[in-house]
Amino acid sequence: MSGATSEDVRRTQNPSAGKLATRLVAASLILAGVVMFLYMGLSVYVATQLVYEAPKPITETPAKYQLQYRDVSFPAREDGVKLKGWFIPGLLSGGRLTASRTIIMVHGTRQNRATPNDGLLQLSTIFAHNGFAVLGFDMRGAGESQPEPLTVGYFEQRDVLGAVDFLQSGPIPYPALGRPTIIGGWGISMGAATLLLAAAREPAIKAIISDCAYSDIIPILQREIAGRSGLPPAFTPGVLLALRALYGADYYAVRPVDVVASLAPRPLFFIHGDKDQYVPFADMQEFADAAQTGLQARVQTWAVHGAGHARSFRSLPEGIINPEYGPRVVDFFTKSLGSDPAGA
Amino acid sequence: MQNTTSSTSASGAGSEMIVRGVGVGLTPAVFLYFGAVVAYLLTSLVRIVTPGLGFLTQLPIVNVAITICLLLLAVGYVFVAVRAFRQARNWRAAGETTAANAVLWGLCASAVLILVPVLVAILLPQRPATIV
Repeated sequence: MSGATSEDVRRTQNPSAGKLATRLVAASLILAGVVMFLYMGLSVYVATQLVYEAPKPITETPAKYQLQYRDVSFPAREDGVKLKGWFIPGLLSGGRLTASRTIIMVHGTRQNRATPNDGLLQLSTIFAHNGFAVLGFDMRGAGESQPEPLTVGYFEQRDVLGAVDFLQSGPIPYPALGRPTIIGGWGISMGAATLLLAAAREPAIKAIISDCAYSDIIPILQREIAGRSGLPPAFTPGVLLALRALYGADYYAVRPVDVVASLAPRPLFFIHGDKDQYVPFADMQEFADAAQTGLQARVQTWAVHGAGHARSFRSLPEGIINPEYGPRVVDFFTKSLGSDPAGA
Repeated sequence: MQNTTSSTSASGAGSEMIVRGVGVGLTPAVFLYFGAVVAYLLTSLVRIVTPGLGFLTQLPIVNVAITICLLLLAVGYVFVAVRAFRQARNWRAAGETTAANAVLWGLCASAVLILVPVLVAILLPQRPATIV
C-alpha cells in the first residue's frame, strides 16, 4: 500500500490497535447519536407540553355585576380562527347605554375573558360605569374560543386585530347604539404584550394600557423552560426550533419592546407591580424608554408598590381591589379617547 | 522518470482513497443533517396541509409525524453508520488500509459534526429573565 502512513503500517502490524480505534469511533458515534436524538426528542416533547392546556371554563358573566351584555363571536384577522366574547355597553347618566368609546380587553396566558383571578369583569364594571363599552373576548385556545396553540402573542395578535375588525365592520351587538367611534385597548401580561404587537399593525387602537407586559418573551422562556421541565437551558433553542417546526410560531419575534416607539403619538400607559415574580419589573422601564423615542410620544408609567404579577388591580388570594387602579385607568382613557359624545 | 510517474500516480490514488474513505465516514452526519431538514419540512408540511382539521386533531397528527420522522432518522442513522464501518472493514481486508483508516477519521468527524448543534445550543449566550 504505497499511500500507507506509518500509523497505517502500525495498525496493520497491530490488529488489536485497529480494533480499539474502531470501537472508540463506534462509541463516539453512538454517544453523538444518542445525545442528538435525546436533544431533538426532548425538545419536541417540551414544545408539545408548552403549547396546549385545556382551557379554563367561563365561570362568570357580566350579569353577576348587574351589567347588560351580549355574546358575540368573530373571526381572527388573517387566519379566521373563531373567537367568542361579549360586548358590554357603557352606562351614561340616567341609565342610557353607549358604545361610542369601546375598550378591547385582552386577558393573560391560560386565562379567559372572565377568569376571576385577574378581575377582568370587575374592571369591565368600572369601565362600563364610567361610560366605556367593553369588548371582552377569549383569545385562541382560551375559554370558549377555537382551540389553538399558545404562542404568547405571535398568533394571538391576530385575535386582537379580529376584535378591531369586528367593532369596525362586524355585526353590531346593540344596533341602536351604533358602532364605536373610538377604540382603546387594555391588556394584562400576555394580553398586554399581544395588544402592543397588534396596535403596531392597527392604527384604530387609539390608546393602550399595558399591565405587566413582557418586553421580550425569550428571556422568560429561557427561565421557564429550564425551570419547569428541569432540563438545562441549552434545550431552549431546541424547544423554540421545535415550536417553529410543529406550530409555525416564531417566538423570537415576540418582542413588543421593538414596536412601542411606532405607536406614538398614541397615548401609552404602562403599569407594573414592583414585586412581579414572573415578568421582570425592569421591563416597564424598558418599554417606557423605547416608547419615548417615538415622535411626539405620550407615555406614562405606574409602578404599583407591592403588587405581584398581574396583581396590580386585584390581589390574590385576598381578592382585594386596588382602589387607585380604576380611577387611574379611567382617567387615562378619558383623556386619551375624549368624552362620550352623548355626555358621560 | 518512470519511477517519478508511478509514485505520483500512486500518491494520487492514495489521496483519492483518503477522500473516498472520509466521504464514507461522513455519511452518518450528512444523513442526519439532511434527514433533520427533511423531517422539519415534512412536519411543517403536515401542519400546513391540515389546518382545516382543527388544532386538537392536528396536534396528534403532527406529533405522530415528528415521532415517525425521528424514528426513521434514528434507524437510518444506525444503518448508514453500520454500512460505513462495513466498508472500512472490507477495505482493510482488501489491504486498503489508508482508505479504511480514512473512514474511521471520517466517522470521528461525523460524531463531532453531529454534536455541533448541541454544543452551539450550550454555548449560545442566554439571558434568562431574573427577578430582583
